[in-house]
Amino acid sequence: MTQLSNTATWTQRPLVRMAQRIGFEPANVDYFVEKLNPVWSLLNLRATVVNVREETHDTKSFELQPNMHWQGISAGQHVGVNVEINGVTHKRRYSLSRAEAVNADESKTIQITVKRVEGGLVSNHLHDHIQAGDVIGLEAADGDFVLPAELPNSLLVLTAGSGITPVFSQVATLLNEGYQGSIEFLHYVRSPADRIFGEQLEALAQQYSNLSVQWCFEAAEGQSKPERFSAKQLAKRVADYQERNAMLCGPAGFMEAVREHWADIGRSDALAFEYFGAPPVDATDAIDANITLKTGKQIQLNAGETLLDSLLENGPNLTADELPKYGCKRGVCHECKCRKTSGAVKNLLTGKVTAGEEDIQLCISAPVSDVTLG
Amino acid sequence: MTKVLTVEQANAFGAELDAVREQQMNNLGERDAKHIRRMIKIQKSLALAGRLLLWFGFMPPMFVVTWPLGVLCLGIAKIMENMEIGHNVMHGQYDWMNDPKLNSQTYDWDTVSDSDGWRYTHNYEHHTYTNIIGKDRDVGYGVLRVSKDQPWEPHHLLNPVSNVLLAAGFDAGVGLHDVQVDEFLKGKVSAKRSWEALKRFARKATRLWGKDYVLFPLLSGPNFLGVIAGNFAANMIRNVWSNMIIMCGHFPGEAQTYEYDESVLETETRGQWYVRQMNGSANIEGGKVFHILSGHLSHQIEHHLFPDVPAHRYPDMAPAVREICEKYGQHYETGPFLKQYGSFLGKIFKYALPTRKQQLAAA
Repeated sequence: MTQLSNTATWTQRPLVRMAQRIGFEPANVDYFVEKLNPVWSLLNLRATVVNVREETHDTKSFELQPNMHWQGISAGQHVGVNVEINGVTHKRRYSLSRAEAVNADESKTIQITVKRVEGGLVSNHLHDHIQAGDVIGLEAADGDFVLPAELPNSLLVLTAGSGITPVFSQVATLLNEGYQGSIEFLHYVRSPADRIFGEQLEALAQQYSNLSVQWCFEAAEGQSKPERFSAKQLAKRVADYQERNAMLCGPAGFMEAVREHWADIGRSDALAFEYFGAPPVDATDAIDANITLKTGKQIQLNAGETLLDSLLENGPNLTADELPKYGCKRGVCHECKCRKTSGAVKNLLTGKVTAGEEDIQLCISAPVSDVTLG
Repeated sequence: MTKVLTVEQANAFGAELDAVREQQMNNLGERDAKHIRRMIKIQKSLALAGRLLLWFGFMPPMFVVTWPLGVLCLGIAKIMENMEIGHNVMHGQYDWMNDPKLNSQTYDWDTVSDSDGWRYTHNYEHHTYTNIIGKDRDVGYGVLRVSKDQPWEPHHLLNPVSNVLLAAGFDAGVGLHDVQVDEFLKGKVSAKRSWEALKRFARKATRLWGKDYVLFPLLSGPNFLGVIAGNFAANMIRNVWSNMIIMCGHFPGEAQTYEYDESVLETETRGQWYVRQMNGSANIEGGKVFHILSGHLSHQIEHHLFPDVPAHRYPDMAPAVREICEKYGQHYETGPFLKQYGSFLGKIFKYALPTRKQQLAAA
């Protein structure tokens, strides 16, 4: 589990490898390099925070200047952010939240947008403690929620809450690149004050006639009851929605409802989606299960918990060998990947139940039988 | 003499120790992260200073000052890396930090012992089967006879000489530990296993001895002999010091060894494991700097009870552990460095000769 970035391949050059065989240690040199300037590194991807801006009362954007190891990102992808809180490194992934895709050009900055989550360790830390000038750890861009090479004729965009961030950068990129098809952008949000990118999106709609933006509020002045997603509501807003290719991003409950409807109308293949946060364990098939660890130790898992939650809860009783490595806790970074030798688990992202020997991500796996980890 | 506990008493003893452990584990955080990073900072700075002093200190009038100073800095840096940093990180004491540089499974320490092999023979074998003769190969390290329970063999007559040689070549000794030459000769481990371990040792030794005796001397140019000699001296300081500390860990005073009995081990409870760890370990008294330079193995008792609690917390835990031991009539073996090492040395001479019972049996 080294943090070697793809551009640190210089350590793999024949001469450098030979030097390493007789004792040259890049990490030792790197230790002193980062003492000169914390963002400098011969091995690791990091970024300086160059600007922090308030988007709404509970949302901030962070403009980041990555170091030499940055290899670029496409709109809709996410980057890993590592911050240390009380001695523990926490990893989260955030979508790029600005119009253009960013290549490996060092002079360019990237931007992430973070909503303060009640009780959320990392989002609150970023909001309360990270300022311009700070250095944070980054992990390379990843994610397959990117625009297809062949673009559909018309698009429907459905987002809710902070699910708007990855989609906003994709739509902006599309329009900047001259996309001519019609885009209907529906954003479901608590109130006008909670709109992230509200102004920017309105400005885009002014600039490009093929973009139409509609806000669906839980509550707003002059609105008698909340407007939530339903087939009827959507048909009222966008009459031809069934003919459009759709992009979907938002909290789990919202996404489940939309996906169910798209399945009902037989258009699942025309729906691209990305979860924001791990979807909840479905209580109907969640069970109390016995988990056997590779050392033979057994722990009890309560229905509704993921394997990772349960292992971490049992942390004080586990040895270093039994404690899992982990990162994002939402199925993205694969740090907690682990061998399951027997038993069946439900993948909370895909809903698929699999059994037998396989690698699973602990943070998005809920057991549907007793499970043995190897 | 230590009191023999019933299973129930041992379990109650274990439950009290578990409570001591939990109290520490519940507030791991910033303080521990700061400690280990400070240790790393001091160690890397000393190493850099030592290397630079040895590299550039070739002017004759300065040599008499810079060379010994360089050796001292580098020697202390090596001691700190091996003991307070490497040994403790590889026990998983800092895994909770989720920092890839401090991960027990990937950390590679700065000594010729291969890290994977070490994790197996030390973290698993030695810490599970502590002081069980025939099972814990750290009892005498396959070379020395340190307990009357170890069967006497003629080569034990050389015990005092072997001890000096082991101390001088301690890095290689630990490195070759996992090759298990003695077990191979007895036919207990396969040739393949030993050969694989030997290959891993060779790769690691090439890297580290290459650094000390080829790479850095070459980089220093005209002063390469001074650098070779300096690195050798620093390695020697590290070897002798770590050997002396480690010999004080399980062999002085009343620290016990155990006969191997599989059926007993199979039914051993966590409480009984605690009792065995407790009675098989010995502490050394000293100040803060001494504890750090020993990697807190001066708190060997606490280390064997709580191997994955960050070691710098052992001094805080010791009074509670000692109190629990007194309550259950368990002997808490501790004393100043010279007393503990003297006690070990006494056994080296004493057990060089066969023990009376065995002499009689032989007759």
